[in-house]
Amino acid sequence: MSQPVTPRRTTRSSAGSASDPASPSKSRPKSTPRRQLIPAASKEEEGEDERSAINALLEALPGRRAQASDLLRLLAPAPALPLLLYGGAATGKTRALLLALRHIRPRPRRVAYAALRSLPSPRALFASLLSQLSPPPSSSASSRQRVPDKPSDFVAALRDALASLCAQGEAVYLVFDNLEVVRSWDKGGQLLALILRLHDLLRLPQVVLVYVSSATPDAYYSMTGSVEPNHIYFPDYAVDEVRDILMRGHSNPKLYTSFLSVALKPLFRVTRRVDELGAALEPLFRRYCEPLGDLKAVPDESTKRRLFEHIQPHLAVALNETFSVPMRASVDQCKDGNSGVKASTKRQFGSRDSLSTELEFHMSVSAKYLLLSAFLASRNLATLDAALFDSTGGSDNHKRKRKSSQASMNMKDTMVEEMLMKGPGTFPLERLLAIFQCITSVSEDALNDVECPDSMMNGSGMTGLMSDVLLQLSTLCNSNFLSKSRSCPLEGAARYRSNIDEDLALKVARSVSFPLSKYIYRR
Amino acid sequence: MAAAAPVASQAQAVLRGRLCDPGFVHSALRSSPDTNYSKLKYLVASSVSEACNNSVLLLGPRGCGKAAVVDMVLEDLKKEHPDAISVIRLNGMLHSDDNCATKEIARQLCLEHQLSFSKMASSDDNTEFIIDMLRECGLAHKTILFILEEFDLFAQGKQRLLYSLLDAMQSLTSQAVVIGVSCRLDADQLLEKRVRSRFSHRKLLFVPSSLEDTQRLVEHLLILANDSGLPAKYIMDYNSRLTNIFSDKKFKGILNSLMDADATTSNILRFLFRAVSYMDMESGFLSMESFVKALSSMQRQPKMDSLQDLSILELYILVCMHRLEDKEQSSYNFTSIMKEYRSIQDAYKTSDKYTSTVCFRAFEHLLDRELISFGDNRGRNQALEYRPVKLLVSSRELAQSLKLNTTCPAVLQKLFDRERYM
Amino acid sequence: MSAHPGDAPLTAANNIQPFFVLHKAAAAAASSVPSSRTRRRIDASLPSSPNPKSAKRPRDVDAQDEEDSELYEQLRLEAFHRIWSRIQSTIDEVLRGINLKLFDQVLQWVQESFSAIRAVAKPCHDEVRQPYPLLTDVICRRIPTAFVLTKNAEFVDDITTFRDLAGHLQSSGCHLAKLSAAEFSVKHGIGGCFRSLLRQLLSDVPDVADVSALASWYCEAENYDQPIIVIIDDLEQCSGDVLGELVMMLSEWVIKIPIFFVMGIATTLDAPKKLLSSEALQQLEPCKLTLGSPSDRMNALVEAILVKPCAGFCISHEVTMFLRNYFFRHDGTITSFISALKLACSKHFSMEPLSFLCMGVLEEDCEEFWHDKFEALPQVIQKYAFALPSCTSATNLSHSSNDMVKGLCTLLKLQKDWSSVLLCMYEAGRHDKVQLLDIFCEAVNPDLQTQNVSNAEPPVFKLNIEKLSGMKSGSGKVYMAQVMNAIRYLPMETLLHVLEVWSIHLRGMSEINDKVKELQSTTIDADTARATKEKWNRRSTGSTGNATAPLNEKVALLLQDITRKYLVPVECLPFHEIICFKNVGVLQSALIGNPRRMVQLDLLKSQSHLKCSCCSRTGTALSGSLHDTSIMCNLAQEYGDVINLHDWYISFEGIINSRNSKVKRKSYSSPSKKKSKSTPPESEAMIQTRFCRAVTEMQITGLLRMTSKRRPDLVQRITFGP
Repeated sequence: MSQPVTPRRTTRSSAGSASDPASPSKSRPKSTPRRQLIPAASKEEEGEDERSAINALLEALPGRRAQASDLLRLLAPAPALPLLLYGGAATGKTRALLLALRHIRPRPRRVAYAALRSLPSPRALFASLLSQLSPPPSSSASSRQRVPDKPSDFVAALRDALASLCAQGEAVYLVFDNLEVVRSWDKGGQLLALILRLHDLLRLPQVVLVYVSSATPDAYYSMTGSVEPNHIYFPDYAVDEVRDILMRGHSNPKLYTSFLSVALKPLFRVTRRVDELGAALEPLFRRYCEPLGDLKAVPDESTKRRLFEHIQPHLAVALNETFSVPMRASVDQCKDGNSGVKASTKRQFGSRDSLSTELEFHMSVSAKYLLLSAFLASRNLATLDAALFDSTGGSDNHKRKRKSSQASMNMKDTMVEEMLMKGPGTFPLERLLAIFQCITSVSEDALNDVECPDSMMNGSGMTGLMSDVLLQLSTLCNSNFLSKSRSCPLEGAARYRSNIDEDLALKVARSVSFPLSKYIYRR
Repeated sequence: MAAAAPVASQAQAVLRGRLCDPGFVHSALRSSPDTNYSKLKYLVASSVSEACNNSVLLLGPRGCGKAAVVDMVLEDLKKEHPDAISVIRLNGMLHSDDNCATKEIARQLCLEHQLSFSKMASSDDNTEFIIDMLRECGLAHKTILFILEEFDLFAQGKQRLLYSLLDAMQSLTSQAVVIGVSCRLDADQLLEKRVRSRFSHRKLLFVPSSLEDTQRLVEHLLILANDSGLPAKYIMDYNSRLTNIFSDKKFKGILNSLMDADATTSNILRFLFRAVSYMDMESGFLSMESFVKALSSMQRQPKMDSLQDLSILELYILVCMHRLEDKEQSSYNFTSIMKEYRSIQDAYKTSDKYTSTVCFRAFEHLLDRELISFGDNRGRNQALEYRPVKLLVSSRELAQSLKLNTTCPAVLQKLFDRERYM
Repeated sequence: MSAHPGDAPLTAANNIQPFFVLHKAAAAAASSVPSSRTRRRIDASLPSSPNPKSAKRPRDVDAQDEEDSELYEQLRLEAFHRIWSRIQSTIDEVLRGINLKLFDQVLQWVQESFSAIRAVAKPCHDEVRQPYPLLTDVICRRIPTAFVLTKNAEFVDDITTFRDLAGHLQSSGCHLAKLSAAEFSVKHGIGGCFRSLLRQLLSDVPDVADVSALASWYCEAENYDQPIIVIIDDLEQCSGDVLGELVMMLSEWVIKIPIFFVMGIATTLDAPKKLLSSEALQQLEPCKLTLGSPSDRMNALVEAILVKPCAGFCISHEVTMFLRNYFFRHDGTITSFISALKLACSKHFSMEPLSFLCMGVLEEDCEEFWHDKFEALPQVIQKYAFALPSCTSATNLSHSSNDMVKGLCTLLKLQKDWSSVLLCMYEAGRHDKVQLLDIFCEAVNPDLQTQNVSNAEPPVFKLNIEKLSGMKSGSGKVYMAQVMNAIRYLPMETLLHVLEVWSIHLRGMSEINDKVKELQSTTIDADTARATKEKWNRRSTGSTGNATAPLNEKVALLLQDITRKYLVPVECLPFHEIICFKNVGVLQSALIGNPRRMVQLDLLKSQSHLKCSCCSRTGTALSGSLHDTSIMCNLAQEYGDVINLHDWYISFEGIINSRNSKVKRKSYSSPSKKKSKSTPPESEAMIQTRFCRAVTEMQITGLLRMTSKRRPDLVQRITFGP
């Protein structure tokens, strides 16, 4: 798990590449120039490489000058107070830390890194830390038996491991990444207190604790230890910093700058997270380049204008979607594939909630009707059923609801509010079935003229639909259209809620040519 | 002065070493009379010499050097009565569970007395073993010191451990001292009656140090002694510069503002640590700037920072929520926020009209930044956009951040102010 | 599947088989339950089966007929197995063919994204093992994810699809793990599903399962250079939080350990958006793949099984309509369609005495087969054969085997023509999105024939067509008319293409094929001339009709003509009962059962099933010797939709006690002896426990349910009516 211990007497270069966290220098021949630059810096003489180290850092971390220098100063010579790096997601905390750990002098004897997000349980955390600190051969076989699961055992084991490492007075760095996730674990509070107080518990000056968290420090005040860590704050990137980051490693910077000048600002108003911006910009740039012949050419003003015209509509789309799923055009259907893409974009131009009128997936008619009735059941108030479904609908609980419906009609705005608050309501199975019966019986006559006059047709007609209604119900629950709240198999007291949105319901209704809007209680 | 750099870095290393060593930090207490140190030392020493049982609580906020004082006392006692004491350290955070506590005690006892400790022993065996050891040590006139850090955590649950310890101490043969260290001033109130009755109510209260003490502390920490193997010349003008800084009004101001926030020793230490690590390597001396910078970095307001990090859309959503709250709307959720947002967009025709999916992503960002949170923690079954939410930022903070934010559109500012003044 | 190549030689060897093999074989076959697993044995018994009749000829028939009946039953069974296995194999390869396209797409996608990931960085082994993330240029690490849209809300059909997909990917060298919604439960959390992921990949799973274990496994040489595919076949049912956590966790590692997701989505792409937080979605690099929609598969199946007579078994119009509606209305799963078809097939062979003759279709020389089969038939069955309603309608049949054989041959021939013409029609209609199943339904409609005879140019319900397209239930000749219209407005090149396909379909029928040929020839030179006109034709759609009219008209006329001539529904042919299954009622009752109702009926009529002596006398009056539950059920009939438990109990107790007294009076009534012995005078407590048990049973069988907590003294009836 952890890189081998490097005795100091090895040549500096090997020490340089072996003892820094993710040094690619030797292992990866084909690596970008920026990545090679760092070990190059680390190979220089310790005396004057402070500057060059900082430069290398700043090179690798655009817009992080202050944080990088703070890191170098606060991490550096060994006895150091704990350190907390915090800031929003995707602000380069981990990256900055790892790079800084490569550059600090004197070199750390060992860096143990635990990303709490990829460690599902406290035991996993203990195991991975100990295995990183204790030499690999012993850890591989024997440590499997004795993974401590009590915090006390863990601290004891950790102290032993560290004590043996720090014997020569060299620093060991313990890094805890994604600290915020621990809060959601069960008994996370205790574990967090333990992690944050390790400095006191261990009482080893040579051990430097570094915490990385996307949550602000005051999230931990409730459970913090006596020695609060020093904070380093990573603010979100500003526009130009984002531009610098995005610009890096682009073949045709001129073209890309012109693109960014168009696309970046509007997107930046929506989100400031670099990863989201990057993900949104990448397909846009491909579109942007579409009209161009060669991507090497430096665009002049006219082309820029033309490209701008070209990209404008797509930009409008990109602004309003969070998650775009490209259709994969296979080799044989390439030609209609891109046409399909065009169609989709066209549809999005019109208006984003203009639904493509046909249903994308197959569903049996009875399931469709059941879905519709579920939609109605959770959209309308139960007291209105009698009013909405005409008496031919044959809902058995008819006259009982009659008078209450009047009363409920005039207190509608309050209902509107609570509809907005509560969202789709829940309903018992009986009500669902009643509505289902109404709908089907209503649409029966609509069907009859279609159905061929055979005798058996009526047999498997809508009356036949009632038979396996529970199967259909389970289908809908499985496909997440309905959610079943409290289910007790014996007494069917489960209540259901439909969580489909209106346009899907409309699609379904259209596919069975059912006048849904007549039955929705409009606020 | 090119040679300054290595010397300076040496000096920096020395200073950092001091700041990270609690022993050195609190060593000043040794000299001064009637501090908690001397009290505790007297107490323990007397009970060791008179071979009687005793128990004491050290209470006080975190970072006032309770643990350090205990360590110093133990150190001295070890010197004075080398073989008359044996120390058992427990930490409430690790050993609050009775079984593992007894086990730990047994382990340490075995360690102290070169006995072999069996991991397999049941907790009853361990308890018996402890009782026996207590008696044995009592007969051998050897005092066992129990240091219980995070004492309040031991007081959780059935307090079996405390009871068995204190009960064992009732017998005359045994000879033990229990020192409880806790940051809860009401730690002794947590004890059950049967335990409290057996507990002698000696309490030593630790309080954050005053300005003078702090100044003394700072000098004690930063002034380099002549024997710290640095060139004497460097030490001399380093100290002279430092004394100038200390005498400066500005420095006093810095200390004051620092101690207004948090006057505990640990806070001072953090401050000094930053200051020392900001020491500029060119000149090789501590300068006023480094202190100023350290202070500024100490005085961040995370909420304001993350408010500054918001995108325009996220600000819109915050303002919408704030408007809803001003309308005395009892509880609201994402859908009602969207309603408000839509109405605003229709009213002002801004360019920032986005679909609800995008808005929901922004909403989730706000949740991640913990600027807003769900009002209820049930509702796992319910869809997120229907769960009631609430703001975690005050309207003052919001207003300030809107003012500070340069990219914030005027409309937004107007919306915010408008509904504040009507 | 395995059996069929074996068939021909075996059947060729029929005539030289000594007949004593029969009985052993018969025993073997009879003992074998009709299931596809036992096909092997039945094939073993196959060769011998035909002979006995030739052997048995001299002996008098009537002595033999019960043996015959048993023999023919066994023959039919065998016939069923052979034919169904043929159909099954056809189905399998059709479906596999449909899926294969998708599989290749997925594989291609996997390779592309793997190379993309490797292009970012190619970490060496100890870099992979390191716990830190790799420092690379990528701004956000995203997991390549393929959303496979199985366009069907029902999930049943796709289980096999994803299983095959897994096999396909594994065979092409990817590491594969399948996670189902069960693993993504909130209860087990991220640890649970990650552990099961490891369990599928690693040989031994360490007791602390974290990513580092996976990493070190991946670094082993044999594992290193393939991606890891994680298939989640039912995305909708997963718990979003756990899945999101897994995604976040793996996305940290994706560059070191290339793990890709393949997620099956039953409904729409909104499902993942609803399920996952935007944070987690951000970590996915999605692409969309679609499976063939159920109706496409259905078309392929219909073409392969029903239209092309792959194994001389077909279904009547009514049955077709029923199956069709069952498919569209009840559950649109291919699986249930197939099972329904299988049911129909088995019913056919169990009910139709002559059905074993269908086997003839599988023989290479059917005439001879039928011939000696028919010779072997005892008189009764021969009479029966010519008494078939279809034959009575047909005239001048001297009841000889030749007529029979001829009849069957013509039947087959006509079927062939019929199918090829139907396919032509489908080919033409395909461009207008006409489903084959719909045309098929119309083509098998017997009154189509009458319509053809009184050839009324089919009225064009143009307005209907749109309306129908939602709720498909073909009546009259709606879709055919639609096809006709479609032809009239086909653009030239598609028309040519259609003609191409026709000439393939109609290969069997020479004279029509010639017509098609010459039509093509005309078009060839025609369209060279018309090439210029084509352009503005397409621009002005209105004039397309008259511009291409003459040719389109010709084609349409040809189609109509052949339709009228050859599109003869099977039900209008003599002897069709032998190969054609008509009985809807059986199928319907078998498929759309009403279980609750059945349970209730059985409970009410339990005497008739048990045929016990004690109850038969009492008749309608309830006797206490009935099973408690059926007593309760009978009693329940007297109440409305809510039953007062107390009253119920009282009457129950009354009946039990009356019986006990009866028992005491005549203490040796055989059947109820044991019971009464166990409980001499039925104690109060005993009765109560029996009562409770009975209620619980009714509750479990779904005849009752508890009303709300507020009224504990009432229960609610769910089923009504005897």
